[in-house]
Amino acid sequence: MEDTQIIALYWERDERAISETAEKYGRYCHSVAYGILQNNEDSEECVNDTYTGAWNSIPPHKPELLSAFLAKITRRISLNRLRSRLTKKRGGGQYAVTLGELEECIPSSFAAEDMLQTHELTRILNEFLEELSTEERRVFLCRYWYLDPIKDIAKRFSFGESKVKMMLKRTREKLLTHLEKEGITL
Amino acid sequence: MKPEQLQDALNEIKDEYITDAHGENSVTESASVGNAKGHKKKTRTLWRHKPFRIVFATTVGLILLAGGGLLLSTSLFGKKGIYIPPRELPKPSSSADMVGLLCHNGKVYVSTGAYNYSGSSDVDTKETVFRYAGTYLGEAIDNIDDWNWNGPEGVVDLASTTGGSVHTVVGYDEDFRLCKIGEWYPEEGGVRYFIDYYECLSGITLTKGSDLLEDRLHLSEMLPDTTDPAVKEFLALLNEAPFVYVEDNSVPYNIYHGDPTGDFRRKKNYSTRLKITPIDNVTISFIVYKNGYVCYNQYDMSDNYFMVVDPASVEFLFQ
Repeated sequence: MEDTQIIALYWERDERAISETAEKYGRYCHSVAYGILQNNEDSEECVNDTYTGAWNSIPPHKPELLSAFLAKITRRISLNRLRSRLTKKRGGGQYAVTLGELEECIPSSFAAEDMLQTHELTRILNEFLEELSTEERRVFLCRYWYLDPIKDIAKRFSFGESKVKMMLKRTREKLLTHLEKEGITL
Repeated sequence: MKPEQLQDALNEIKDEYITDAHGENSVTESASVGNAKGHKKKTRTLWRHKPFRIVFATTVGLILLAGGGLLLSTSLFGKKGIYIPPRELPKPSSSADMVGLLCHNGKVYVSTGAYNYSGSSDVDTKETVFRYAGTYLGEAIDNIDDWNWNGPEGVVDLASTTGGSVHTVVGYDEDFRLCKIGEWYPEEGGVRYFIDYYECLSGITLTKGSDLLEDRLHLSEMLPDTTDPAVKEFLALLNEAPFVYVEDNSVPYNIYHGDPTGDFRRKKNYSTRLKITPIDNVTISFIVYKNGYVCYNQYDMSDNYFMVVDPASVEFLFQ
C-alpha cells in the first residue's frame, strides 16, 4: 500500500492503518530499535509503541515521508527506554559509545545557561549536514542516528574500519567548528 | 549542553537524510520530494555503488545454487561437523560488541535476549522467578564494559557485563545455558525480579540440527502440546539438517541488517522469523530464509552458522 493511502487510513481513524504500517515498515522500525537496544524483546515493544505514537500523532501530522516519521518515533522511544535501562544498569551498547564520541563536538565552555532549544540545535545540525558530502553525511548518520557499529558501517560502505573512524573524527571536528561558528563560542 | 541533547536534536533532522543514510528509500520507494504541493512524485534511485552490485550478484548466485538443489552440499556438509571457535572477550579499544556477556568455567556465554519478566508485581516475585533457576553459581562481577574488556588476561569466572546472581537453568546443561537473576525497583515501590538467559554455542562442534535442538534445547520434550503440527514437522526436519558455515552475510538476507540491495521492504520476501515458546517460557527463535537456510537466532550463530533444509519445506512459513 502506498504511504499516502496508509496516512489516509490514520486520518480516517481506521485501525487498518496500524496493520498496514506494521506490514510495510515493521522491520525497518525494528532495525532502528534494535540498533539502539540490541535486544529483540525490548525492540518489539518499542516498535509497538511506535504504532501507538503514530496513531496518536497522525492526525494532526501528515508526514511527507512516512518511513522517516516512524523511524524518528522509534528512535525517540528506544533512546528513552535505553536511558531508563541504563539507570537500572543493564548495559549501554553503542549508545554509550556514540554519546562519548559526540561529547567531543560540544564546545568546552558551553554552559547550561546557553542551552539551545532542541529545534534550534536541529536547525544548526541540518545546516551542518547540508554542508557535508553525501558520503560523509551517510557515514555520520549511520553512526550517530542509527548507532551502527563501526564494523557494520565499514562493511556497508566497503571501507576499512580505520577509514570510517577517521571520517567520523573529521566530521566531529567539523561539527565542533560549525557549532562554534553558530555563536556557541569557547 | 550534554551529548544527550545533541542526540535528541539529531532525532529531528530532515527526513531525507535519515532514509538516505540507511538506503531505506533507495530502490523502489516513491515519495513526494521537494514539491510543496506534493503533487509530483519522484522515484529515488538505488545507490549505485559497485560493492552493492557485487554483493547483490553474489547473493543471488548463492540463492540460485541453494534453490537449485543445494549444490553446495557435498563440499560443505562434511561429516565431521562445523566447529564454532571459542568466543573471546572484546579487546581493549576494540569497537563495541554490544552483547551481554557472562563468563563461566572458561567459556563465554552471550545474552539470548530472552527474559522471564512480565512487568507484573504478582508474577515477578522471587518465588516465580526462582523456579527457573537451578544451582546458584555466584554473583556476576559486572566488570565488562559493553564495548571494552579491561580486566586481566583470560576469562575470569563470572565476569560479566551486568550484575546479578548467576544460576544454572533447570533442565539445561550448564555448559550450554545459564541464567542471571536481577532485581529492580518500580516507582510504585517494592522489588521485582527478572531472569535473563545466556547461552554458549562457541568452542563446540555442530554436525546436524539435533546437536542443537535436542542435545541442548531438548525441544521434543519442551514443546507445548498446542504447537502447530506443521511447526513440529519442520523441527523434525531441522533435526536432520546439516550445519554449514557461511561467510559473513553472503547468503542470508539478515532480518535486522538489511538485504544487500538496501531495500528493507523486500526482506520479508526472503526471510521470516519462527518464534517458539517452550513450556518453560524461554522463547527462542529461528531466522528462516526462503532458500532453506535456517539460523538459530543467537549471537554465536547469527549470520554464519546455518542448518539447511529443502526450500520446499519452509514454504509454509511464507504463506
